[in-house]
Amino acid sequence: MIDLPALSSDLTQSELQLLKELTECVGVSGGEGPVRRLIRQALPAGLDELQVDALGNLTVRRRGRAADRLRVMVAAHMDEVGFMVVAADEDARLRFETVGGILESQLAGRAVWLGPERIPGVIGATPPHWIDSEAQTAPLSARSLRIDIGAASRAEALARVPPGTLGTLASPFECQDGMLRGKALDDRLGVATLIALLGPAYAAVDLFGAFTTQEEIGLRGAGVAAHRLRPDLAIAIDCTPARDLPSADGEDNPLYNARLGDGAALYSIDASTVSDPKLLFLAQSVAERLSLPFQYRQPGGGSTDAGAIHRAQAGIPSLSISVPGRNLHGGISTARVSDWRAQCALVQGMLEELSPASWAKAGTA
Amino acid sequence: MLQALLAPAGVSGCESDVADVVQALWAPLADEISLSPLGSVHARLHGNAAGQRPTLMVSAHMDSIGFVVTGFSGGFLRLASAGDFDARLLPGQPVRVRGRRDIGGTLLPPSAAEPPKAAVPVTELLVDCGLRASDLQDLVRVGDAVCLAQRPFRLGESWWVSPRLDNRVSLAALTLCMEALASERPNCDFAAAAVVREEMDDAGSLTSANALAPAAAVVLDTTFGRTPDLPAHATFPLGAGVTNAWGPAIHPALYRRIEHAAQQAGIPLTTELLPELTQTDADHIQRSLEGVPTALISIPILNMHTPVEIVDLGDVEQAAQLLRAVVRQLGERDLFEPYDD
Repeated sequence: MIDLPALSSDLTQSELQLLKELTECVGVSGGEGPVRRLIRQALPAGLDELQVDALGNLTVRRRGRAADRLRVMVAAHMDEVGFMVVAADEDARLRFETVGGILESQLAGRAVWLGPERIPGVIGATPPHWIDSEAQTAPLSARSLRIDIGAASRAEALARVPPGTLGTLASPFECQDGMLRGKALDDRLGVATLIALLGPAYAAVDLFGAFTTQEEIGLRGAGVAAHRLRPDLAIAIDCTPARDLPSADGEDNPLYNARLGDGAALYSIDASTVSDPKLLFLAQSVAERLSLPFQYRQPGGGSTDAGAIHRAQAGIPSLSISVPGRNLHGGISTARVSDWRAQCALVQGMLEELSPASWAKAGTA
Repeated sequence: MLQALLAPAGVSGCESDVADVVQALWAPLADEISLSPLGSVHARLHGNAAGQRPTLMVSAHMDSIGFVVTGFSGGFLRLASAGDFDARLLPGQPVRVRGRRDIGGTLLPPSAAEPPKAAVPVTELLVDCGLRASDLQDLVRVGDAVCLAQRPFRLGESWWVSPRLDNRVSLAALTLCMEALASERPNCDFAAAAVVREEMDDAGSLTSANALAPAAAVVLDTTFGRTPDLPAHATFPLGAGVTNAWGPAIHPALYRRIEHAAQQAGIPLTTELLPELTQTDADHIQRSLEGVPTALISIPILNMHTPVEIVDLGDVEQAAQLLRAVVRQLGERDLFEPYDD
């Protein structure tokens, strides 16, 4: 059992250290190696079948105690949105293209980290004195922006940051008053949850932990991992854009997805998945029994790894459980410690309850 | 051989004409040849090693962009596009309608008092075959393919022009490589796939990967030739060799092996950065089954997806030689390495 200090809104020292390392490393889609290395170091002892597949998914198995066990896959994606350096101009500034749905409007005037060594750079911006008012209101596109790394020549720039280098905005991790702030909370919070879930052995469940790749460019890793693991059911743990800010006129925002502080967000339907109703019912009943805060994410757009997993093999019953976060595809996002703890405790509770027998007679009411 | 491959229309979704040509070319070179349920051609060359041999899949799509007849408007045909066009280029283009027999036609915009201010969408264009409505309806059915009619021709010493260079040049390179492999067998099995529907969706490449269950795959396709209006980092001069793609759809170890094979064989090779997906069959083959280590080698062409695509034949030869060097090297050991950190 992991220790659940009654959904404390403080982080322990080791949690703080893990989340700091996980969120501050550069792990853009297709370049998840730095995250994978951290996970290998952080995984608890006693796991079987550690494997890295052709897409870079890292999967492990935690065997349960009973003879008869259910195969349960829990997936969290390692990758984050970012950009790739593609060329250098004669003035030694770097050109780049975005990877995943990073908000292009939040790139100019920001510090960046380039490559696994996090070489510092700056995405500059024109002084407002030189901008006529009409152009100033037009959104800035990534193709119009350049990165300065302080190189004296094009050759030096290319030597220090070769084309193909992946980068992110430079956002140090902070935790204050129960709030988490940093880049890549989507989905390094889920990665940290999954590492914690892999600690204990469950009664009648073999837990297959899948740290997946390329979620942000089309749910590409999770499907092949599910094909290989052949789970009986799957839970994707992710972050969902909360969109819970007020609208410009100060009125309530009718377009919110989930609210920070209201607990783990359960999905009934999104753009890529209809959740399995039995799993959704199980999540609700476990949350109620353990008095864990939860909310329903508003149905509609967005996707998680469940979108690829539930289509693998002959079909795999799947559910997504997310931590709500703000500005998740910008360079810096916000989430609450209590929501993250609620996600972890809820999935743990489900894993303790699940067994071949209970799943066979699980119902929706 | 390239001219034989350029002749059939092979409109995406209606590839049986080009499949016939590919089968005729590959049958004498392969140990096994078959047509998949969706119409892709699979040819297998057995390797030298005894016992269980891993399969290297090399895939090139054989379909081309074109159109499908959606209906009649008097003595004219209406169309939908199969694949991506710039609609601005289409009015006045000669086409061939693949009806009960081939019929020549011209794409024309509907009559209007004033020239249209914006591009006329494909669905509003008409095919003028110069026939009476009743004759046209005897010869053409809804669903028939329509292809661009521009004939292939030579430009200068080593350039060729055709609307179907994407991706028949890759099939030519693959065929050249197979001619060499028929006598110098690699250790692994070599499975060549000429797949359908790349210009439409993932159905061709995904099902071929499922059927062939390769241990690794190399996709051959075309990429953008260098022109002054496009960014230099994303375009490649004709005649300077082929490209080796790098990005999330590419397996790092396979990428490096291709680079290494090119260095060993003295073949020029440029890295092509594809930060998200490749928009080729590599995207689909990589995520088939349990995941397949995949790489992408591309031949640069000018004016892609226009009636006048241009290739340098030297680059097609380079692609064939590179592929041969890669296969030779891959065959020497158990090639299919785990993902490295």
